[in-house]
Amino acid sequence: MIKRVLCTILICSIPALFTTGCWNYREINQMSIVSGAAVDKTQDGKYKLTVEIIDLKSGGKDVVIHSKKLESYGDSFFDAVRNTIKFNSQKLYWGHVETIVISQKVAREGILQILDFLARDAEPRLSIDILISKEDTAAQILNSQSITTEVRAFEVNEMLDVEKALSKSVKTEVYQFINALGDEGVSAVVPVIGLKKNSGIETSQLSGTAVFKKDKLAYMFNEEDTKYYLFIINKVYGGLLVLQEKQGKNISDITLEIEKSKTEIKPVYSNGKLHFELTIRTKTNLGEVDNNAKYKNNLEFEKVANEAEKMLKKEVERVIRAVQLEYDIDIFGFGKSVKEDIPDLWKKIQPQWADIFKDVPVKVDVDVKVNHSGLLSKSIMMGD
Amino acid sequence: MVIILTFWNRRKSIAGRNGPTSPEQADAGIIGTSLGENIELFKNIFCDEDTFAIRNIENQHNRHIKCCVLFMEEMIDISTVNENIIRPITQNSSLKSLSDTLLQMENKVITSSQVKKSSEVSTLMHSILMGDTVLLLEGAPQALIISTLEVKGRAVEEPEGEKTIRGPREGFTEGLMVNLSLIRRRLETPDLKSRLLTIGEKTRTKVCICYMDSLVNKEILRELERRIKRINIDGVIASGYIEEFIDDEAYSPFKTVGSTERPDVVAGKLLEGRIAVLVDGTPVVLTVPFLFLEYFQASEDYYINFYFSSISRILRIIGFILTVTVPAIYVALMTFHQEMIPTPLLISISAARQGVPFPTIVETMVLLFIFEILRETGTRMPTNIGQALSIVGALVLGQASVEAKLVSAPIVIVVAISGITSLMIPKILGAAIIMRVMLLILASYMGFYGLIFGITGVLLHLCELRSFGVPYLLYLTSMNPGDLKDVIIRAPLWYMDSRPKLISAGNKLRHAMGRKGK
Repeated sequence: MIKRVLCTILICSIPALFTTGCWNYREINQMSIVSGAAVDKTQDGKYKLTVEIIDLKSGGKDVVIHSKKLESYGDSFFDAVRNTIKFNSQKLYWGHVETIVISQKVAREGILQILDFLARDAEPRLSIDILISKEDTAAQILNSQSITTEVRAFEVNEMLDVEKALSKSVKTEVYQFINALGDEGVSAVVPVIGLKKNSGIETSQLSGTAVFKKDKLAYMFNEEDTKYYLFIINKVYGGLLVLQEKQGKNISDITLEIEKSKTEIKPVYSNGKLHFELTIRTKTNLGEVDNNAKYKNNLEFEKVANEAEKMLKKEVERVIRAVQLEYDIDIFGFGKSVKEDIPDLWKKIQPQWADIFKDVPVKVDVDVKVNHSGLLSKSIMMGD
Repeated sequence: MVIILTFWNRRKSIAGRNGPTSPEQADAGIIGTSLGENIELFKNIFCDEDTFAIRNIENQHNRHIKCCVLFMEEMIDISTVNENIIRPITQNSSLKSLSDTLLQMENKVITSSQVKKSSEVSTLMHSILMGDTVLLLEGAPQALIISTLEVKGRAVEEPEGEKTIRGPREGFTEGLMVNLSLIRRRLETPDLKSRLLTIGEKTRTKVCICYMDSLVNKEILRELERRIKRINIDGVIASGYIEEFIDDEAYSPFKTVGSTERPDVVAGKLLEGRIAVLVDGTPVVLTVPFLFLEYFQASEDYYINFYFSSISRILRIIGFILTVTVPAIYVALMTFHQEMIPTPLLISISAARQGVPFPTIVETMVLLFIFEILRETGTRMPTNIGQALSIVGALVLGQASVEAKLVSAPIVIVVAISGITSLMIPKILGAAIIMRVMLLILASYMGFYGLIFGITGVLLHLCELRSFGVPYLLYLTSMNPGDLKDVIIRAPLWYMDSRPKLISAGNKLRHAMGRKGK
């Protein structure tokens, strides 16, 4: 009995050494690791896919990482992906893709097909960052030079991660986009990336936000507006508030560094009328001051905070008005908040939500606190 | 023992008294009253045996008292024979009559602490073989067996295999009585019982079962005795022979009988209610029952600070898990689940594998095989050529093979981790190697699915195992904090107030009230 079991195990194990190429067994040095992709469309409506693969040259002990770009065409997105095998001997491995850049043309026609592939296929993760190219093609972004790493797509991904200290760009991963598509009363937004000359090198920079209606690109706004948009949707984790303070005749610039910010959207339905109450609570500290005033006690902090409150309220209201007037797309999740807080009302107003959103009143309440003045209690004195 | 004795008795009745010429036939007789015939009888038994000595002596005052001493030259202390046997017999003047000379000799003449009487040829023969001196007396139907054994053995040294820093440095030797004395010195109580048995038809090895009478679980003791008496083998050379015969699960790679070279460990185990089996000729003492967690316990744990010993014990457990699973996890990650590797790591491993001709699984197998070869060579080779091995092992096989692109650098690290951690618990090495290879093969087929599959199989096997009726994973599967005092962490000794359940009878308290005293 035992002999039979042992023999079976032995016989079963011998082929393991010879059939190592079977099924899902893949050697990592026999696949092209894809780091990022750019999606364009040609004149005749075909997908043009540019993928960045990691090119490893291990010379002796040093590992040199380069990236290569491959271009392929196909009738569908997946077709274009598979067509790379025509000229690349190694199958593409999508398990470590970090970013995918989509051109405006593709985005205006709809990106459902691409999302479907990314979600349906086993390899790509749902945490891939989606970006929209500000330039003519998405390939331009992928082909631009990177500064910190050799791999363009990884750098874009890292740029989006450190954005939290600036709060001028959103970060949207595939699953977030898919969730926003399925949700009622909120639309998806995606960061925009464009080219920039930086000390002679053609590189890229994040520049604003693209708003989607369903899966189609509707419009884009700039990074300044993005900041206030982030305030509204409670996604501010850092960044700065630059404001001007009048002191008699002088106007001085004061920069506040945001430590923490929290925003609540509350739908209020009274007397048959719907309005929203937006409460923004922001904790800041003094980051930079260009006068020699003392900022020591709470009274002086209060004065600065009031200025900041005024400015923030004005800007937030401006962004809301602009979005409401020009477009009928609810990117703030106002509809979602109604659905969550007053579900009965949402059932009634849902069909006309686009129209209601256009002129629903929003009451903005801003509370800024200045906690401390950094390492200086007095500003730097200037003698005569 | 009983079986063997009854066997002799049966044979004796068949063979009768006359002419035993071979040792086998000698088993069957009793000696006669004629000294000359008796000497002839033993000469026949020990024919062609040049170290067998026969010394005829006569009393200088009474010439009718004729004696003969028989012994094996290499086994006895010659001065004891001279001073305590030959000199008193030859010079004693009080021996008169012939009727009770043997009794007088035993009581008045021979100055030895151990003297027995016997008429059975087999008993006398075995006594001579064990180093006793047999005194034959003209006209007496019995012979005296006088203990003259001189043990020539190794001194008590520190065991090489189980070293401690703060514990005692004594280790068992090859002599059973020496070993027994080392244990008894630690447990000076009549509660410590030691029962002697003889096993092995040819070797007649003395085996001793030691236990604390008030603590031992009588059922386990009975079962152990039953299993030991069941053994019918020609020779017991070392305790490993006994171990394999009394093992619960003959085919399992996991041991169900513990072994140690340290008397302090045995004393500790006896105090927990376990039973020790000492085998003459082996410095390794067996303890039963043996639980899985005892693999991870070291004697050092109880001699040093409990925080530190808990850390080392956790390290040992992690080491075991690592040595078994690391190669399998590596192969599963590299060949099935590349998405689980962090991107920078994937890139650097991928770069290291550029130009390596073999698939990952072959690489891992070959390197593990080479490591085991190195380990085995290191164990068997003479110590003075060890340097050559480390040069070949470390430089040629490690560095050069990576630089020559025969294997990738990460696999050397993986095999090194697996190899080094396997040496942390040398007792479990055999089982660890089998498990490692099994999991590796499963992982190369089915990735993590195969790995989990294999680990589940091993766990099922461990759950099924029993050591003398005690579940093998006892305490490891317990949720009761009282049972976990000496499992993954080693609680302070004043907190470990009760003996292990199931193993010791009645679970009596070790001490009352912890540090508070009575």
